[in-house]
Amino acid sequence: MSTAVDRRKFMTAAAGTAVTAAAAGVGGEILISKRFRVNTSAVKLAPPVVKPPPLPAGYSLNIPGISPFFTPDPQFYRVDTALVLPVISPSAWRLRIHGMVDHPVTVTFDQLMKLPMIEHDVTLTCVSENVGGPYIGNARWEGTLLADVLRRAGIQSGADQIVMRDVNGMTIGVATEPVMDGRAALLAVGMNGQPLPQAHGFPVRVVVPGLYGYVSACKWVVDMQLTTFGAFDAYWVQRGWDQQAVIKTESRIDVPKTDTSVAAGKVTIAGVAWAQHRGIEAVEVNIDGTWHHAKLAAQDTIDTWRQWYYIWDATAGPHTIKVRATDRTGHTQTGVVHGTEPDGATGYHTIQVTVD
Amino acid sequence: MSYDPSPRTPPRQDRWPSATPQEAWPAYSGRGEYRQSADYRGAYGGYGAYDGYRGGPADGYYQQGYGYADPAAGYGAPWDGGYDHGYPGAPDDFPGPDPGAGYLDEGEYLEPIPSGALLIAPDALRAHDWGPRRSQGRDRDRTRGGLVVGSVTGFLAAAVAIGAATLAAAFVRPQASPVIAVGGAFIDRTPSAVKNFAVEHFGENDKTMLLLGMYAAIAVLAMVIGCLSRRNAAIGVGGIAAFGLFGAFVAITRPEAQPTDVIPSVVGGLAGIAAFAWLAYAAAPVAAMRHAHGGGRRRAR
Repeated sequence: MSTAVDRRKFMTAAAGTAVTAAAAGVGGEILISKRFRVNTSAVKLAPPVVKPPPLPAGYSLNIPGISPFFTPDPQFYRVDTALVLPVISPSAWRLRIHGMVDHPVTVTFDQLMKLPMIEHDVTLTCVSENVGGPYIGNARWEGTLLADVLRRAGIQSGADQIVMRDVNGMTIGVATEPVMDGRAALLAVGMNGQPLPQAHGFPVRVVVPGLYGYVSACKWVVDMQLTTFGAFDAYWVQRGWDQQAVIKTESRIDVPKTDTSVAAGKVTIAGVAWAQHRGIEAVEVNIDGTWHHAKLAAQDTIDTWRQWYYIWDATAGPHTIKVRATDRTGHTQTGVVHGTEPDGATGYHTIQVTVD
Repeated sequence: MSYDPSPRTPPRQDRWPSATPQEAWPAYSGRGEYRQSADYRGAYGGYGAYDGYRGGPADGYYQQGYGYADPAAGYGAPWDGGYDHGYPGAPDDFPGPDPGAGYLDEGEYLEPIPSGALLIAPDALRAHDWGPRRSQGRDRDRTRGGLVVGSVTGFLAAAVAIGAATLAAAFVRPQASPVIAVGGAFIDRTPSAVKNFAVEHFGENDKTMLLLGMYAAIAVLAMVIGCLSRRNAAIGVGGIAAFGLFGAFVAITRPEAQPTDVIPSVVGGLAGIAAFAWLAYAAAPVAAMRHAHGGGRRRAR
């Protein structure tokens, strides 16, 4: 290609700018990672005042491929809108509680850590969790009761919504009632015995058993405003999701995977079922149209999921397997297929397997 | 190119817009003669009216079939490949007897290139609409070369802008980086259908995919701007400045924004403009630098 541009001159300039760009970009990223890294291990968790009872025998099934009862931190799902993880120094962290309260209060991290700590196992679920999807995880959370902190401010009557804000201005609106009704709604500082990871809200996040994350699980929380549902729509509500959403009774088949082949004979079908703050009563497995009762792992708390399994005497050919759960209120999950919007997906998790 | 053995020292006929052999321009050195003639002023748009050329020694116009005899041909013809391929004779290409388009003014020849124009890709000096006709082979080459240079210029200027903005964000806060700020604003404005699609198909890599998509979009836009800036450097400077101002605006209007959040965008925009100026200067053809106007027009590729 002929061009009258002085190629050597242009190539020199191009190389120069390319090197400049790379140096600035890489240097910037390195500097950012050095300057804006949180040292989560600097936080020392106090031993909890209220320890959970020992885990019941048989709470965890030893079945290859089943979701582990406690989700390892690296596998714990993360769904949020933070393109870069917020960096909050515990010494700079403040929680401001204001709005429809008798006297606004501001809580520092040191004050928070001096409050009685509770450990509680809670399974978090994202509203974007499609039937059979991955956005669910179980952990042991350590924190103080959010209700106790809110009572210090004095909630005025009529304040049916708590609008929580994270350090980036993200808003999560949670109903006041489930926070105050005695369940373990926590201002959490620890996860699985360690300070919160940065991706999961360091230094303080909110965990409310039984509600989808988008209406409860505010990470990096710094502000709580008592208000009403009529007065304010939080971030996801503005985008078409329901103001309040209780986690639906659901279940998932972990093994075997769909569209796989298994050998004929005894085949273990296993998975998890959840109905947080109601508890799982029963799980049934449907093989080619017939429902069978699955065996359940022991119940930890009603706020966690529950593993289940069913030994299937598999015969050769293609098979369709479904699962459904019944919670302790007696409600059986619906088979009506519905997407995640506006308040969580429904339907039976269904897989196809071929038996050789 | 056969007649262009070295871009650094092109033969004389290459430097002159119509690529006429040196001896065919008796009037060039003594341009006052024809310049002051009524014929020239009246009919500069059509060479056919140059009586002096016809009578000139070793003119070659008619002998070589350049097509100059057609008064309707206008300047467009000899610029654009007419030298080699003959003039296809589209009268529409004639830009019209715009005084600014021609060689009316003695001062125009003699003036040095304005200092500001050093930042301008020389094709940008081709202010008139007689640009390359893509139908001809040489012009295709020329266009392609310009696209490569323009794309590289735009891409690298954008890369410098983003790199500098990232570096500046390291001293402000990561959220102040224009890419992060615009990405965050994009997330907030994403329709839930798109968000659901992203969550279902990319899972927890949705943020990585968003950033990759943003970088790709910025690269494409920057390359387009770089190509356009080959015609008019103001497009390059203005485009980068617009990017920087947009980033600053988004960063400052994010929830929980701080006033210092504009700094990375501004630094990035200035660095991008500087990189663009460097590249555009380096891409200026040698001939054009020596013979500012005529050369610039002729050599623009």
